[in-house]
Amino acid sequence: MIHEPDYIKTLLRRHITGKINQHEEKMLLLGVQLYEDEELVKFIQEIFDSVKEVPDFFTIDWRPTAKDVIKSSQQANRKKRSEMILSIAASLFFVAIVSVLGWMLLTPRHLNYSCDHSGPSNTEFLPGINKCRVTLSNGCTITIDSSYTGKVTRQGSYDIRRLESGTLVYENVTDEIADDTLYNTITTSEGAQYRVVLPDGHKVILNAMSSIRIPIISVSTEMHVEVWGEVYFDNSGSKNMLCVHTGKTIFKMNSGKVNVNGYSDEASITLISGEPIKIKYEANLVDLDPDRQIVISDNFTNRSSEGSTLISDADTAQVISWQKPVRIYQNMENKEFIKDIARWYDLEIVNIRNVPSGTVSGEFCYDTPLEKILNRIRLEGMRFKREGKQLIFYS
Amino acid sequence: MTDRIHDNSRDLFRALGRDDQHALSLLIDRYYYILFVRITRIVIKENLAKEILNDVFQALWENRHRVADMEHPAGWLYKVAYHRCITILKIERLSKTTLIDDADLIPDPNSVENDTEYKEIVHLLAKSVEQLAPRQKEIYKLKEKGLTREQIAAELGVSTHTVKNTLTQALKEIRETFSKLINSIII
Repeated sequence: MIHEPDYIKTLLRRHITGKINQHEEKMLLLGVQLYEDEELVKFIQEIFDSVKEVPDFFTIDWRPTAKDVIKSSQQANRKKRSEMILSIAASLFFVAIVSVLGWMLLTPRHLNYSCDHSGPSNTEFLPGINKCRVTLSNGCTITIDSSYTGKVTRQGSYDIRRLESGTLVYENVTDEIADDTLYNTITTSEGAQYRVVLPDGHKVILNAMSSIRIPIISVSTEMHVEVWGEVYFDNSGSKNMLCVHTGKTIFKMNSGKVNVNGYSDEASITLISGEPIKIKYEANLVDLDPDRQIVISDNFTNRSSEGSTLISDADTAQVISWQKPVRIYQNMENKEFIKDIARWYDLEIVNIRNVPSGTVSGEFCYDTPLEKILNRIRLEGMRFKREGKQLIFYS
Repeated sequence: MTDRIHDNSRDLFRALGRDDQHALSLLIDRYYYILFVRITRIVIKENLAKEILNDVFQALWENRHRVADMEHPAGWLYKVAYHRCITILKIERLSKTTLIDDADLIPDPNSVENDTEYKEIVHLLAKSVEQLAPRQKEIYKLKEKGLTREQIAAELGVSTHTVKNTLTQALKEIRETFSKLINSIII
């Protein structure tokens, strides 16, 4: 009945999708009187957020112009002021004098809004954890922050999407193959870190003041990327070879986890786990085994191989300890959460409709084992089983 | 090109904060369609939707300095639009009740039953409102007429804050009384 928010939501949904009947319409019009505007705004927002395609039933050949908007704004302002004066005149006389004085005193401040906003307005310092810049193939730069959710833009046959958890993903949307290879550069500024899933499924984490240049392709067997700063690669979910260039150093990785630190003249590459990789710098070729780190000096001048130091038994945990930023979920819809987990752990979801509604909040480190997360969501009352790469949900 | 507009919408809001009129027309281009579609879904009538849309952009221009610093300027635009729609929807009720009765000419097998149900509900609602404290009732009645909080506050000479609190309480009590009344009938 109309005193229940859920009923009003249902009616609003039917109203918005055009399925409402006359009786329900009447009920809705009665019902809206029982709620505050803020509540109703929330309901409507919810509905529009969940209804993907809103059918439009007439075409619009009209739009307001900036000129008209500004003009009517000025007129409204003038009207408001004259109304104000009238109401003041109507009230007690001495109050009127005080009000007019007050109004006159206030007015200059009101008019003063042409002050320069372009100056340093950094009154609040925002933690840059989830911020990065993407330079598109056409040279445009987008700053990705929390104001984006979902599709950011399109590049070739890929959509760039920002997931609710903050991860940036490249999603293949068509099979068309672009004539030219497009390149994107993803950059983080000071204090920021960013997680990206590349077009062919490689997972990448950029530390602060780092960037990576990637081609928007998936078909080739080798993907060449260039990195600056510190970047962590996780190639465990992808079949493709990744070829990483940093400074004068090149290495190829098939499957494994590698940390590249190239902030200074010295580049250090650490193989956290996976198959041994071959590292090439200038004319030298070095094999790197798991748990080993190589430090390469870029400024060596002599031809001796003194330019590099191989460190066996590298403290890999220490090397990747910068990745503390965890994946943080705040009241994330269960379904969205599951999708995010599936993407990160490369799982396939079966029967997502059986995921109960509700939200998840929590923090997971990047390397949190999948089982731990699954145990956690079991506690949330979700029923499922895992079969290989499939996550099957039951009602 | 459309992508470009999308990409820079945050920058556009910032430019608007610096009184850039060109930014306003770009923002109108960017948002008028999606807002218009949403508004028409709620208020149905095209001419009303146009009016609301104008109001929304007018509000954007008037609040440009505040909006430019917002985390989700687009979200703010949607909210303004929805608020305006709801006001219209609430005012509509007063004029619409008669309109709907005219449209009831097409016989609906459930209409007799529905009609008695509707009348019962209207009756119970009125009863619930009657049980409010005098001050609550006064404010609720003004709200029902379509007055804004500010207008009610001015009319009664109290603060908007008082109006808001009283209304919240009044609505809560109406819903509770109504729930009790309707349950007693069903049982």
